[in-house]
Amino acid sequence: MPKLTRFSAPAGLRDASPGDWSARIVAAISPYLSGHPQFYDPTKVDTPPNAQQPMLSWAAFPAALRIETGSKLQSWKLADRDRSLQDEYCEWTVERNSSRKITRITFTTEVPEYWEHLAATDPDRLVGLYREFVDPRAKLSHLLDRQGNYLRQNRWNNSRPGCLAHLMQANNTLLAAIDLIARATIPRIKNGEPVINQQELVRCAGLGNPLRNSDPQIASAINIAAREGNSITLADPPGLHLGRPLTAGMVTPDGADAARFWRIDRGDAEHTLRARFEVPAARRYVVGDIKIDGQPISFGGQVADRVPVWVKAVVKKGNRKPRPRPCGG
Amino acid sequence: MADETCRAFDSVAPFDPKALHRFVVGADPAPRRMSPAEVRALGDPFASLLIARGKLPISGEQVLAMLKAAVPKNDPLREQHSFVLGEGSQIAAARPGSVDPTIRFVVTLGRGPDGPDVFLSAADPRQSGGIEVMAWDRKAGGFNFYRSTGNRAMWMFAGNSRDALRDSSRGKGPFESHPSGSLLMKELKSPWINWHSPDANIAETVFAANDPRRKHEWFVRKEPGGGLTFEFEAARPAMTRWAKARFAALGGKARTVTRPRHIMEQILDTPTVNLSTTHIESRALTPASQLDLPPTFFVDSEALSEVLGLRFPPPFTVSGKIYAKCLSKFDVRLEDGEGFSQKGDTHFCFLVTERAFEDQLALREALKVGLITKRLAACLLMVDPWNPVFSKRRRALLRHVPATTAIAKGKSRFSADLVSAILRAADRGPAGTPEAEFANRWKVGPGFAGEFNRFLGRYYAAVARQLRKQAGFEGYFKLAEERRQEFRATMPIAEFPLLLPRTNITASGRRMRADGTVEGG
Repeated sequence: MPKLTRFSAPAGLRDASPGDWSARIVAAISPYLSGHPQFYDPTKVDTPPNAQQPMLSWAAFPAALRIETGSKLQSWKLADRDRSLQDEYCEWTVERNSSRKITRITFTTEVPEYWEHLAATDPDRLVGLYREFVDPRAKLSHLLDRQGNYLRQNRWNNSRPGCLAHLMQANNTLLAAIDLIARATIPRIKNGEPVINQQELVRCAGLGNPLRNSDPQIASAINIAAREGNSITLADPPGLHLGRPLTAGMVTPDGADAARFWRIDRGDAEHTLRARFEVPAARRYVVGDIKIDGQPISFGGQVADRVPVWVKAVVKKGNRKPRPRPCGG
Repeated sequence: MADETCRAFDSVAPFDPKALHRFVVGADPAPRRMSPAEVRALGDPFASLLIARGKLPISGEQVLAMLKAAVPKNDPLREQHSFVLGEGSQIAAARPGSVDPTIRFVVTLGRGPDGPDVFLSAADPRQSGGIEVMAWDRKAGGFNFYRSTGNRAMWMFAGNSRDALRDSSRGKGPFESHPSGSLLMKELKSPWINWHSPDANIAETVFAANDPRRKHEWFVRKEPGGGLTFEFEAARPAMTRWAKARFAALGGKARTVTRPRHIMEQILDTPTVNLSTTHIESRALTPASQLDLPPTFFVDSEALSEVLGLRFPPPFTVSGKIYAKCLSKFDVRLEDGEGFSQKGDTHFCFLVTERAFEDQLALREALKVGLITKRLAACLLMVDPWNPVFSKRRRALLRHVPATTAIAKGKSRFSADLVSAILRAADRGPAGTPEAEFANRWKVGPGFAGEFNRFLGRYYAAVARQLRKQAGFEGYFKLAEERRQEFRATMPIAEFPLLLPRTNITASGRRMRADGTVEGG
């Protein structure tokens, strides 16, 4: 495969200014190219067709929160209430009916940078998306500050039920993922031994929170590939994606396979950016009537435990002799 | 005496590799060729799509290829997922060649609300002997267990899940490791120690550079979610599927439950265990770390809280400083029995035994079909609740379980009969017996939740106090080791030497007390 002409919009979605989006990605990558010899820009360097594209996957539910609370129930309650706790590159919102039963859980992995790009290049589309997916009352003025800058957290994108447009937790950004991938290409050494264990690597290289699901997994997989002398970059289209939820074992009132209740709203089956878990009205029951391990689904977190999130990297076979650095360096 | 362990399959004389043999260890003295009618009676995909059609694969990869080829393109059986695990996988990946990583692949075919229909386990996709297949029998219910042996893969039918519950084959052959006939995933929960998972990748350096498994699709295209996916898409649904099928016979019209003891052993005793750990990697341990200790080490919270609705335990944590001192004081190390020794703990700290999920399912189903009442379950499990596994006191109550009982439309005399038997024994015996402890719990009455929650609350507070002190946690550390030693001594699933850490702690009959201290030093 020759050089990538340009980076695609998330999930290959239609975009009015694709060059601008690609330029944003290139600008995000550029600072890492010097100092990270095994990280490269695929728009500037060839990628051979046999390059592997490993999928790095983890669960959407925040692991650090689970560990801190020590209780599934407590962590589900807290995470549902506050999106700033949902820090695994995936956020969700829960909607309930008048009986407080869950009717819909919507998940997103859409990065805020793309919505900033839309604000700058196609504000009508931006407002249209808000109106389509959040609330028809959305206006451009609700989404911008006085200087005209896009507000990642705004009236229609916050922790209130149903107000979910894209990721807003401080660490859930494409820049954070790029930073992690680029810096994880540096092998590390401690006391003369390679640092390969996930949490140890994250701590050693300052690659995020060692107790999250995502950071250690991404860092470790990239680092393993880098230690073998390979060159690494983001797969196109760059972004974080949702996997199909792990619905086996969910018991529905009519025996239907709960996998059928996963509806993709943005992207496609291969690159899902936004999806909802919702029972079609014709079935006359709701998500809250579905049971997991004998308990009804009462929290979005119960499903988030089973929603995989993933990112793909490109691993170009190489014969570099990586020079490991000490921790902190 | 004949070998009745799961190794029995490796010592059989070579028979005809072109036929399926029946060898239900304990029930059959030796493998015998199955008739075509017997093969046709097996209702699982392996038997019906391959064996009954005269197709006998000679390797694991052939099993999968032939099964997929036997079904239409959109058949769920075409959906294949591979998973990788190995007790020495993290050590071997870091230091290639230092230990045998004991790598196994588990590959599944099929998907649906009940999980996959076929599970295959083998160390090498191309090996002929030692392949294990479990396939769901849609006619009889339960999994059919198959095992290959020899260089030409002679296949044996090793029994159905129901054989795990028959006197002749109970605890023998495959049912040593699958005591209730269920699927086994002993490291069932995050961080799924020993499994490739989002919490711990298994790198290709686990294999020698020239090992073909490095490039085999089972490894290269392994399921990215690893243990996470297997837990939710395969293991829990498969265990639940069998538990439901097993107990379905007790629902509805009048039935005799011929061996209620088998069910009660899963509730009162410890026929098998799952293994759980903190989420803290041993090598990432620092004095400032807070280790999230598995609550199920302290109490059977899955039964008491999740099923019976009693108070959940609080988060139990211990500082990295206290934990590190234990590692040093008790000379914790990993050894493979072949000269390898490494100071420190397993990949994730504090590996402990907990009540197995398959036993939790037995409790849930026994409640659901009406064999036992919620009050009885709560009173039984609140006998010595401080020792969720290997409790001799709860085990002692098994002697009162009626030999048989009847059940009809969700009603049974079983609970009343068992309660009466235990209360009679309590009346006759001295104070302090398990029966007396049960009687005290029973006396609380049908509104037991408040009082039981107070017992649990006092215990949780006492544990939390102990966890702040070096001496307090050392007691727990020694208790954890003693439980691991009992697991190693009594359960064949502890077969791999790198599964458990070694220490200088010797067994002394330790058990947890209600005040959060450990009896036995």
